[in-house]
Amino acid sequence: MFLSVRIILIMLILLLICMSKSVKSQFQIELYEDIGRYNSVASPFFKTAAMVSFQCDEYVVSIGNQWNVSKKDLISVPDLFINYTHKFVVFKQAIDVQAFLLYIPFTPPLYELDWGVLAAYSLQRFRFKLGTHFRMYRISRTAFEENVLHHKRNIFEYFNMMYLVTYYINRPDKRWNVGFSLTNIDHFMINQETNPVFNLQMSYDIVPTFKLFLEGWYKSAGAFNLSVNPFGFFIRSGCVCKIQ
Amino acid sequence: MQNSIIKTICLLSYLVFSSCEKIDLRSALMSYEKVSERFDQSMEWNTRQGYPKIVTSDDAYKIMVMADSHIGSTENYDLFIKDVLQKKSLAVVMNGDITTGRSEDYNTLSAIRPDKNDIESFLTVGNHDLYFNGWEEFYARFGASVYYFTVKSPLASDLFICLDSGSGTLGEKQMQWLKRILENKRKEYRHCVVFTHVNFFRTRHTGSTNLLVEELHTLMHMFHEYQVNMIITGHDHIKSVEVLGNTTYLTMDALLDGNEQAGYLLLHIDEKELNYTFVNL
Repeated sequence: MFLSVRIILIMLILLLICMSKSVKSQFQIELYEDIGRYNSVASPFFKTAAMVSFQCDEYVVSIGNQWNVSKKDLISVPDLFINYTHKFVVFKQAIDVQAFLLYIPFTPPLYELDWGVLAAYSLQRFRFKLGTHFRMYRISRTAFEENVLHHKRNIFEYFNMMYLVTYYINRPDKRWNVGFSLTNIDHFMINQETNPVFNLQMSYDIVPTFKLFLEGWYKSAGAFNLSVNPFGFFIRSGCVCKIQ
Repeated sequence: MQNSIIKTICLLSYLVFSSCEKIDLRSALMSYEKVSERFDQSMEWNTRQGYPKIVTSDDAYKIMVMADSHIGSTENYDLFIKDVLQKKSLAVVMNGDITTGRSEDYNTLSAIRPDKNDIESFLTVGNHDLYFNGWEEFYARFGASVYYFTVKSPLASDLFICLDSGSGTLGEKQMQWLKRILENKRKEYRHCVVFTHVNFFRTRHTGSTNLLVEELHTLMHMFHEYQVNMIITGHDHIKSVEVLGNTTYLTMDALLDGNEQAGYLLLHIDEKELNYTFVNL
């Protein structure tokens, strides 16, 4: 099902490119690799992600895949996210409103599905995101039928809060920047609101249309239980390429 | 604008960190010891003491489980123990946040813990038990926070695993130990029940922390693969039941004094089924 959704979306993006000669449009490709270590998974882990965005005036459609290449039971279907962003101007302030769907098949019989909305707002040196989402853990139909399971297939979590606060050293017009974030969201992972993640990021524009970035992410457990233990960290390195 | 934001962040931080004396703010930065250190000490204890085995001549038996008594005061705890003895439970499990972590509360718990000759009691740690360097008190008095015990009845044997999630994570070593236990032992037993303090799913909004999503993925996969029947937790103070496939995830009401819904869990195990009842005091 999700493969066919991807194909439709890719076709839609290509169609928009063909139709968009008269409007302001932009293509963006982002690629990155994560290398890290967590308490709970075979370490070190390696994850590779690719995301494509297409912007047409104030509309942006993004689609991305992430492959966890270190998993023992390598799953043929990668993590998938689809994001639709609408850029608004409210009281002379630019606000992005996003709707998204995230699919994480974390083992062959089990997967997580998240969907929600997110608003993003930027100042010269700050970026904020605030939103909410629904989470569903689910057993695949095949596994459910094969194991003759008579019980429920889903667990739901409703209205989990998503947040991001980033402070940048430089204004956006500089070629390089360093930022520090406190958040519970990433492209392919949304943690509970009580499990904040810290992120230190650096970026450098080689040319206006090509950027390299390096990020360090640190996760701790038990923050709101006031019994904090390290959980893990990872390093992300990648690039963003814009095609006008 | 940016100054206002910084001031707001400082004000919020002040409000968060100026809470009541029941919590230990030192642990907000880093807990007194890592979960891996508690795990190592628990394994040393288990090597010395062995894993408890209970033998019963009855085909059906009961185990009573409570969490979040936060001793200090012991009104509801006393009622619970009275019920335990009246209902002739085979064993009792105290599933974390048994005390506030203070030394004097551990003294109280030691004094009123049921005698081993009357009933076996199994304790796990919660986050509150670890405050004020509480692990040293816990370990000195009660020993391991990670272990398993078994119950052998005439018809079959059942496996009960106690895990330490007081720090919001099991940690790498405990996770590997759990995997080994399930891999090597699960097939020998009829039912398998896991006790740990921190609840898995956010079925309502609270300020309490759950295990991180990445860790939940690994655990849910393990419980599904090895057909773990039931996961029993506390921490959230309000009961909930979630079912995924053949695994039931239970969260219990807190036994805390003054809690209007104070209660515990009664496990009924018989030749056919593993059932549960929430009991409110």
